[in-house]
Amino acid sequence: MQSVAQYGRIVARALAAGIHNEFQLKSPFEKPKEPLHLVTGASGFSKSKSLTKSSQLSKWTFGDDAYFISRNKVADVIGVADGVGGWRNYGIDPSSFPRTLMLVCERMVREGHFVPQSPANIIAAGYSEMMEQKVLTLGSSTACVVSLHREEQTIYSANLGDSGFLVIRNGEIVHRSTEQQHYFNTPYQLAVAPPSRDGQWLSDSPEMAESSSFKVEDGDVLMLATDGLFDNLSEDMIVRSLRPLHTHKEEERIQSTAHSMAEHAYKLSLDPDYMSPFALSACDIGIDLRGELLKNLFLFSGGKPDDITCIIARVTYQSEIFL
Amino acid sequence: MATSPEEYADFQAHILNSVKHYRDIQKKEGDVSPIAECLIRLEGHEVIDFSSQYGSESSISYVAYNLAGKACVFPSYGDYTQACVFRTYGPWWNIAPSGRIKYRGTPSEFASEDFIEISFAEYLYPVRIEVYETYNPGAIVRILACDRAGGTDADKGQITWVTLWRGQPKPCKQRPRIFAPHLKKINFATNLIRLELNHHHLDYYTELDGIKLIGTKTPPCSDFYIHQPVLSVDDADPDITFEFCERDEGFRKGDHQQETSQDNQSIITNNQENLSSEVQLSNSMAYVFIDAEESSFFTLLPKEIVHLILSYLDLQDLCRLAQTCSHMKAHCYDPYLYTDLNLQPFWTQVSSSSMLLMIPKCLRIQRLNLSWLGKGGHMFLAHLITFFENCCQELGTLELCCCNFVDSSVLKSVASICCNLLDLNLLGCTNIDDFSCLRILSLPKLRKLNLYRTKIDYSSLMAVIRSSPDLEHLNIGSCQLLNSYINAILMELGSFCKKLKSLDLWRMKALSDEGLDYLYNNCHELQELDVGWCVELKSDKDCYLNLAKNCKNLRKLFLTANRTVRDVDLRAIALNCPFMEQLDILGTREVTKDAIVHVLETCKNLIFLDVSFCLGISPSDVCSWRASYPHVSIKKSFQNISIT
Repeated sequence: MQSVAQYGRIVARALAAGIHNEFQLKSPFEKPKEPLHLVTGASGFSKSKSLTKSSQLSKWTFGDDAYFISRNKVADVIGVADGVGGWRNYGIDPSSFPRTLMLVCERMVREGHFVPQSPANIIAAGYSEMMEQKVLTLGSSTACVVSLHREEQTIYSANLGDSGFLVIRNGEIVHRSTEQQHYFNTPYQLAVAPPSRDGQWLSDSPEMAESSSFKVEDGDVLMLATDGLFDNLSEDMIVRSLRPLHTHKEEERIQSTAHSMAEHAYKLSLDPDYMSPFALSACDIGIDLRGELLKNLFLFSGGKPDDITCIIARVTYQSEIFL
Repeated sequence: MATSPEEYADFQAHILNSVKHYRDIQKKEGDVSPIAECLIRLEGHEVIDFSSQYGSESSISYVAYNLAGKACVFPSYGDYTQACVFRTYGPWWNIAPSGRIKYRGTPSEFASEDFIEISFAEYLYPVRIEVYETYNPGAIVRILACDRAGGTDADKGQITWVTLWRGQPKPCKQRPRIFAPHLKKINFATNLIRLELNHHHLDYYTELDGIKLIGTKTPPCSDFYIHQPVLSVDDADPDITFEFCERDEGFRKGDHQQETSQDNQSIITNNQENLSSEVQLSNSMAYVFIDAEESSFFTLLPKEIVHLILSYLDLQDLCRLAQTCSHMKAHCYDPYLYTDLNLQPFWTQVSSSSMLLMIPKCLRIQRLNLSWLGKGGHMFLAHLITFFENCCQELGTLELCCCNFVDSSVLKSVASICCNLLDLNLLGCTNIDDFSCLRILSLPKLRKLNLYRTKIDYSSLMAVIRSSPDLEHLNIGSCQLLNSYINAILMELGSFCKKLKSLDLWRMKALSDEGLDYLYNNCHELQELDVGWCVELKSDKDCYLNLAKNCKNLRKLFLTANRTVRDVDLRAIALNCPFMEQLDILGTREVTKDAIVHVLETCKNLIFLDVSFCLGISPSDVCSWRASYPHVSIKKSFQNISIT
């Protein structure tokens, strides 16, 4: 129970703040809320080094991962999609689905066919557009899209599966996405199955994507990545690598940070003795790493070899980007 | 079309050559099509109107909207989703059971089948227009510019359309192309361009990636019109440089353009007023007696011979002939010359007032084509009602394709006055918001109804189906409001319209085997069925099998993007449908070469087969089939030709 005096103080403070704000807005020297932009850098590594794809096809892809970065009049949008590798056993290239999905999403953003406050719509619309193409792309992937509404200074996100993103402010993670899995190592995924064999395949609806929104400030660093990164680098490592970007805002620096982080994750993924986050969570859920369940698929300990994609985006005032 | 691997390799090389040519220009000059610095170049801003499109209404793939914005496919050549694609191509839809019959008296220079109107961000005096064709070029037959200088009040008839270029449809080599013909010089700035297309000669769908308007803010000097860079691969592209316009428009190629531009101007303005003034003139002379004593050579000819001669003339010529003498006028007023009236070629000039002037001639009218009207002159409901009441009570065919003036009131008038209609075409009439008049007013003799891309609702369509037992041809493609009820609609058709011969269900995604079941169990006369992009249909429910077994008269069957079509379905078609002429199985993954060969062998009447994007069928297979079965036009579309 607070005393009347305390209440009085609260009211007085509120009034003062209100009046202060009023004066602030009317003051001729008031700087209007400036729109924020994303300055991005992207990098990654493919699990398999023996790719011979032409340069046109491998734009915005790393192995079976795909991503896009796009802008339009209202928002900056980034997205990743992690293709499910199991399709290879059925003669289907697992990278074509995520690549096509990301290209379609990029086109929709660029041409303004979306609502910036609803990246879940971009994912859903992109997915249904894939069905409108004469060439049917088979496969499945996760999808994670983050959109920064410049005027509102807010990021909106939609995530389906185990890719994800973090927002780091002053050395702390202030916002993150939640991983969606059916069971261990089987994330939620958008899928297009061979039409005549419907029903046998895991296929989640775009409506299952989890959405969130978060107000951002200048200096926030956003990292969007596929599970290849999160399974090999601990959050501490990530936060530490991203800390310098609070002050260093040049695009080259952001790009090189993305590259070094992806490279670090790649090296650790091949290290058999390193207790990666993946190995730790496997232990957590009681899977005996030397047991029957996993012997075909994973290393018994250490890193998790996987395609790695990492997009780093620093939230910056528009005026400060071109200095 | 390539009938051997060598021909196909040539075909491929020719295309890749073109692509390389444009890419080299791009590298050297920084732009695929460099222009003089003082000119402004604008890319298309917004598509305002169009006649048809391949893609779904809410999609971004293969839709008319793609003509606007950057040309992102060019100079690649192929069937890409980012291009603007129309609904039809070639002669195939015209020769199908539901095909439209040509109107007698249509001027031969009018060849437009589709159109698209696109606006630009600024008003410019056009010096050059570039259309980026990325698949099957050569469809554009006319380019027009809109003059809104007199204000946008259509009532006062102050919107005029001027033809900037006109050509005849003809075959064109397959390669990416920037189509930029010599344009007529005009004395107004425009921001609205209309393209008219004819795709009769095309091997497959034409696809347009973008359009650019190049011009100046102030009237340019005439130099610009002559010294335009020619961008095609061959030095003098015969498709463009030698194209000149018909006698009416009075264009001459190249050098003469400057000198005769003055003449051209007057000829053109004359022409545009021609039709209405001719009609007016011929009407103003009231009923004149033919003096039987007068003996000119014309009066010696029997009336029937004169009538036969006049039946070869088109509308404009008849109007002109009527102005020559009273004898000819009497003959030209014979209503039996106007049993077919096609006003579509004159859409730039016809208004409802001009239609009123034609009433005396239209007393015996049977087939009336008012498609595309309304943009060249205002169409008042009152005038239309007068026209319909005076002439159209016995009207058999009424075509109102893409008529923006047709709204619920116009529809109501049509339904109430023209109650003997056999054929009603409302293709693309997107301004009709309310079809409920059809629930009360019926068209009991209706045999053919086209509702492509309209907003017809389920109840109104039900009312039509129930009251039109003679219905033979129905097109409800891309009717978005009908999609969720499509199976119920087929049930109704099965009950009430047993004489159904053709049905177009393009993009009715909710169509299931249940709905198809009602159809083939009841409509055994079915000759034509289009279930393109009806993705809910699954072959393992035996729907295609049963369709073939029950509809033995099938002549056209389009299963575009029905991805589960299997060999057993093709064999059933071959076994049960001896009259099959046109078959489309685009995009199926399950079909093998053997089954296709079986169809080619057994269906002796087959003339069209589309096996585009069928997994397991390669271009070389198609080449050898073309050689072995030369009477069948086999289509194999592609996206990236260097990969196939």
